[in-house]
Amino acid sequence: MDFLNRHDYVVIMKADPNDESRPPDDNRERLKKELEELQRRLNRQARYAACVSVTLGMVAMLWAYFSGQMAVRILCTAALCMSLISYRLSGPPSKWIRTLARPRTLELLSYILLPKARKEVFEPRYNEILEDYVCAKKKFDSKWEIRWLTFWFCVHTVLLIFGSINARFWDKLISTVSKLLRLR
Amino acid sequence: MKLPTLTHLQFAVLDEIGAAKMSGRELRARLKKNRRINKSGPAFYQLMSRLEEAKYVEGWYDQKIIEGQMIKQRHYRMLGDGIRALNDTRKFYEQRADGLPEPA
Repeated sequence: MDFLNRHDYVVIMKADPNDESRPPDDNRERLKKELEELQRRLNRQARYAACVSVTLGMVAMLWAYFSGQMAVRILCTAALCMSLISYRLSGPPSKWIRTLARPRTLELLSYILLPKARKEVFEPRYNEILEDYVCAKKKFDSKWEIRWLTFWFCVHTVLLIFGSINARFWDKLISTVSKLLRLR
Repeated sequence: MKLPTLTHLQFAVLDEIGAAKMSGRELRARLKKNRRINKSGPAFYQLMSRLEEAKYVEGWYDQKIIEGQMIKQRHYRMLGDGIRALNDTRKFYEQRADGLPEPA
């Protein structure tokens, strides 16, 4: 299908019905269908782009977390959160990206942890952060203040998930090595 | 002499809990203030999870509601095995410290 510029479609669809240059109704229906197809295509492209960027971001953050310094970890997490939030504010209309930057969704992300690790390592600290966030929201209630607080809450939650994986991993490794040494 | 079962960090945590019931946040704050032990959140709770696994402490959640949001707080108290291990470790350190000169 040969696509026109998206802007042209919008101009045609919004055209005045009394205008003589307006296309006839059967053309209008066809254009409407084409516009929907174009919209679907754009959504699909945006979804792929979002998938790729978030996956790359996650991989970069994992790499940075296990090998880099604290500053690198924070920068990577902040970059990822910024990309998610910028998608949410201005970007593609894919629903999953819109919901990904919400605190509730980030809490869902913690389900990648094993149940015991989630209950004993992640949740206590998460609830402390949540308490701070809720108390701060009570104090600062303008739109941008809440956005700022939510942004940092998201950053801390993501850091906490990786911190929990890290703490669990090293603890298990050390206990396994010490068991092996004891066996010898 | 037999080595103690507790690491110095576990000893500090159990000593700080003592006979009290304490929230994780309060315990971390006390460790930081009294002993200058500054662990990150996940590392601290992993340490507590290990102590729970060894039955030295018991942990449970208390719930409170702030601004319509339910917040769960993890609390800890020491168990019998923890008190025994703490006393053994304390004895060990006292015996080892007997021959050492007094700090200036």
